[in-house]
Amino acid sequence: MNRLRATRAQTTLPAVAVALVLLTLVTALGLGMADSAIAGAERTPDERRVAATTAERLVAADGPVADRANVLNGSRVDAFDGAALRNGTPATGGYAVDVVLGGATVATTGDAAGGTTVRRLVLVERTETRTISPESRRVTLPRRATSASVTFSPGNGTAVRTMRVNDQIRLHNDSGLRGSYEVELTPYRTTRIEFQTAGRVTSGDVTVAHATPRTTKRTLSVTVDG
Amino acid sequence: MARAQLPLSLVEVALGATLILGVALGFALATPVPDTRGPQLTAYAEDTSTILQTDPARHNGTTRLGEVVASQRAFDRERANLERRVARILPPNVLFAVRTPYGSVGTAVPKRTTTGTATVQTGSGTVRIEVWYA
Repeated sequence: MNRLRATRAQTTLPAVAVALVLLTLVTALGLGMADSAIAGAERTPDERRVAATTAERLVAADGPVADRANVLNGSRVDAFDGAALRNGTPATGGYAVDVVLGGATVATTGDAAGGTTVRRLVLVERTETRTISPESRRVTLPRRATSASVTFSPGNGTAVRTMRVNDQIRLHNDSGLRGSYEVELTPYRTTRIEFQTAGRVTSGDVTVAHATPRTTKRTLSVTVDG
Repeated sequence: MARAQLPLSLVEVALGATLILGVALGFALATPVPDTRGPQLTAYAEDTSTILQTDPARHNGTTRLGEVVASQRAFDRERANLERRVARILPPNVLFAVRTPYGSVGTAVPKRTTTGTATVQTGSGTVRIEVWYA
């Protein structure tokens, strides 16, 4: 019995200690890895969901800044700010949200530098009003013009009786038109305006201010940091 | 017989370390990474189709998309303009292919790439817009 024990190598105490230390280290390492992996996977869905919802809301046709789907109204974009963002998109409550349009920050509720970003493509529409003063009886407006304000202030002897838009009589007064009139136009074709007068139309008799929407393409990015 | 044996504890620690590292590796590799490219590309494609559907036509027709699919002649005439328009709508790092009943515009769709797709039904067929990161 005694001889037998002497010939067999046995687990030694230092080896057990080393094994324990190694195993503890590996366990801690593994736990750390698993934790960071799960944290990385878990952190973004909420941010991404809020960012996607907010972006969707902003480009929707009935959204706080949009005129039509994916077409934002320029003046409403200018008036948009963080408070309007909070009210218009309730999903952003509790998050820091940055709304950037074409590189310029439009609205922000806190610093969302390291968050999740969702980008959408939009057109920004701004209405430009141009005034022309025709010097003949006919004037042609660009196709996209949506409305025009025509002001008659004729001098003596050049009373304009009738104004035709694309051969349809829109304004008529036997004793001469005076003052301002709003005329709705179709944006789908060029508009020809014709004045009927006994005399000549000279510069200053009639002014036509027409509103033409101009769209520019922009990228709308919504960054959300939780 | 004097036999030297490997200490059992070291065998155990080797086995244990392998097991724990295997489990940790499973966490690190098998955790589903959220697919962030797909939804973003789909949003790009949907936005492009919406913008094309609301763009006024260049000649006759109601919208640019309706104009393009009106006839083979109209498509041939508008092809270059459509390509330029879509390229301007999309960010520079995104490539596209627009398939219409009369032909395609853009680059060939690569295989094994995450793409975003939007389809639009028109009177003369389906228009399919596919976008992907360059």
